[in-house]
Amino acid sequence: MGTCFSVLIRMELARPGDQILGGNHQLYNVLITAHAFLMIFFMVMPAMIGGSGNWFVPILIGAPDMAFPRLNNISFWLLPPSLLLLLSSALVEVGSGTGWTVYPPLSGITSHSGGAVDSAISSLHLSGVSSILGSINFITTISNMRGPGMTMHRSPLFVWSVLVTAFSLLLSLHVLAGAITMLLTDRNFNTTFSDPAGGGDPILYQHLFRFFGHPEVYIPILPGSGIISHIVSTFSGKPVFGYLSMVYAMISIGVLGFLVWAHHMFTVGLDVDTRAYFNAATMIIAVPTGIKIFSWIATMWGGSIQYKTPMLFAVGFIFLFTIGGLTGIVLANSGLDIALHDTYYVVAHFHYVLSMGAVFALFAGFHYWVGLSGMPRRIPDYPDAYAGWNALSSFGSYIS
Amino acid sequence: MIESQRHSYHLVDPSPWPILGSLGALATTVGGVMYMHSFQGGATLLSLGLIFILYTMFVWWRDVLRESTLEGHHTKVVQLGPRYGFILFIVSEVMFFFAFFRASSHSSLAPTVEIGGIWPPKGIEVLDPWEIPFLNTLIPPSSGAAVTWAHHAILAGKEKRAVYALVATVLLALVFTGFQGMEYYQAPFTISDSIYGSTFFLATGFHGFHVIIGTLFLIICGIRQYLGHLTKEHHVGFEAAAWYRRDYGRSCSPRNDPKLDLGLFEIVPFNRNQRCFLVSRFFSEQIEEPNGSNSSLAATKDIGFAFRKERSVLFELKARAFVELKCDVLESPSLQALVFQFRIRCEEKNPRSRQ
Repeated sequence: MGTCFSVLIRMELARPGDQILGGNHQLYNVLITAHAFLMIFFMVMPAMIGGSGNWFVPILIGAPDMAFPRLNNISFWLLPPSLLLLLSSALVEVGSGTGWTVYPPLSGITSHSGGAVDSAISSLHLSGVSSILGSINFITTISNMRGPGMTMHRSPLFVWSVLVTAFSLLLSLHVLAGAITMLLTDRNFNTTFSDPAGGGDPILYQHLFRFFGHPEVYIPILPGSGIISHIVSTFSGKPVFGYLSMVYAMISIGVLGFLVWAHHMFTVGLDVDTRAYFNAATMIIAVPTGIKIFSWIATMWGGSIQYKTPMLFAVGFIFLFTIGGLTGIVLANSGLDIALHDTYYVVAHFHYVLSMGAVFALFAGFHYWVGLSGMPRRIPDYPDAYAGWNALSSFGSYIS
Repeated sequence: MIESQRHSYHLVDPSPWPILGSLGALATTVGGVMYMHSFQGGATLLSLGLIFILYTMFVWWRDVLRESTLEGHHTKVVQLGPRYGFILFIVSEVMFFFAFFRASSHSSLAPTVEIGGIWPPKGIEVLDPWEIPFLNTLIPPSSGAAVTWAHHAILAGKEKRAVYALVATVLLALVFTGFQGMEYYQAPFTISDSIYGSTFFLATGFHGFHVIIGTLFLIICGIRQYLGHLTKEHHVGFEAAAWYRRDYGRSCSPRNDPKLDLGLFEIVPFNRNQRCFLVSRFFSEQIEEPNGSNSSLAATKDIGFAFRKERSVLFELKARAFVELKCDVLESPSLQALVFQFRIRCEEKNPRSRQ
């Protein structure tokens, strides 16, 4: 479904001017919102954590099952209602054309007066509860149910990655819950958290959302890196280079992820010293990430590599993730980010690091990466100068 | 019926409550959205959903109680699970309140011009912090002290006093809630009165909601204690409630107790090399001397496995802690079964010491 939405988005962007959506820019915004929510909350997270995590963590630590099997079950069963709410948010009234970040005042009651944004908020609440319960389950399982003789420092890297992810989820999701609850009361119960008329501040929401939002993007990537560690070591015939440094790199990424949230907010008018701090802190995250990349390469070095499909995906991941990560370093620079904020450069960065191994990302990403740093995002039209690359990108999305 | 499993964890039976709980959540959220946008039937759906969720919680935890207290599935290592889980849950709830505190400080440390550049905002009559709020600052720690008293009473085996202590805890909590409700009613400002009202009522409101949940939890613990569910070694549910109230770390370790007589057991070799035994308990009240044997076999109920360890047999009994059984191995005419009768001294053993 997320792919369908993204195809629709690219169909609209295929040529300058309004295309299939008939000038309905609200609908465009609804599509991009739904695309992001679907991909993040209903594709990546369930697959990584719910799917691989639930299945493999007990096996890898020698436990018979997760610590709380019924809790696990409710984590799963909360997702269909959450999905239903999200889809209904796209379908009721004018839809929720706010972007997945749901920033006020666009998401406030005067700008989106129907039930769509409230449905989206409820959807986030339910999937948040699902993930929090799941993370409690994972941490307890990993702490309590390791087989005899398996100390933490002997457990497989995927287990570590899930542990760090679970802690990130545990601590960040409730802050999202607080932020969207405040949005809900602002919309329906006359509070003024983001309304300057009452002394509130939209930036408050941004701070709270991004405090969640930054660890949230490390949450899909950390288990992924755990999987890659396993694949690379298997298909190189060698154990992963530097087990302990991998473990500490993952822990540092998890911890540092909580300290860098305002690099999404460089253009809102933060103090220059604040921006300098977040700039520096964000760049520091590159260090443990680099350690992981180098360790994977070192794992392959001198090994007997079998070019089976998973290995091809893993090698592709390493290459593409590195490129995407480097664009992240560029974005970390608060000065450059002023020019690049809300442009396709950012979209390129996160699609590179998020959607790995897919041909679509390769085509569209080339287009994003190479030329179009100035193309505005979340707006269905663009200056004619970008026409050529947009055509190529849309064509790419059709054939992939 | 013999349940054989080679590990001491609890594999729960399939349960319908998760999916029903999710349906309840769906009903609540859809009903909520409908209610907020004045659709017909919204309020009804919302209330139905909430009732459904409450019912699911009731039956789910009733199942947990049945499995642990009545069926004895909660071995020591299984008990660690809910302990960890609950601490983690409390930590995540702390983060929820962190968001509201952030909102409050964001607004109060740099008050905007729309509220007069001052905090509290112009025109807001704040409540005097040294009146009811002060009282309501003293009551929760007292309630926490009472629940600690209850905990120590449980650990010492003084069951009646534990009930009294829990009653005191709940009463204090109810007084707190009552005062807070009164204050809400009498407050000169509402939730709509600028960011001050917003942060005040949302933060104290969610706090009050959690207080009510905690009080309910403690009431249930009180009922369970009264009914005798909580023993001095096994009272994870109570500990969870006490932590919720107090946010303390792990409870103190149980004390050694004078001999606890568990009655008559049958221990049957489970495998050929006689290192593992299946333990069953006779439903019999007769206590005989160690060198006697029971002539009539009553019904037996499997309660766990035992592993031979030199001269003692290490038990993992389902409803109790790991205990080290110091007993004299009897000579038995039968090679198939060794019948023991013993008195057990309860000592807490860390299950991980086996690994």
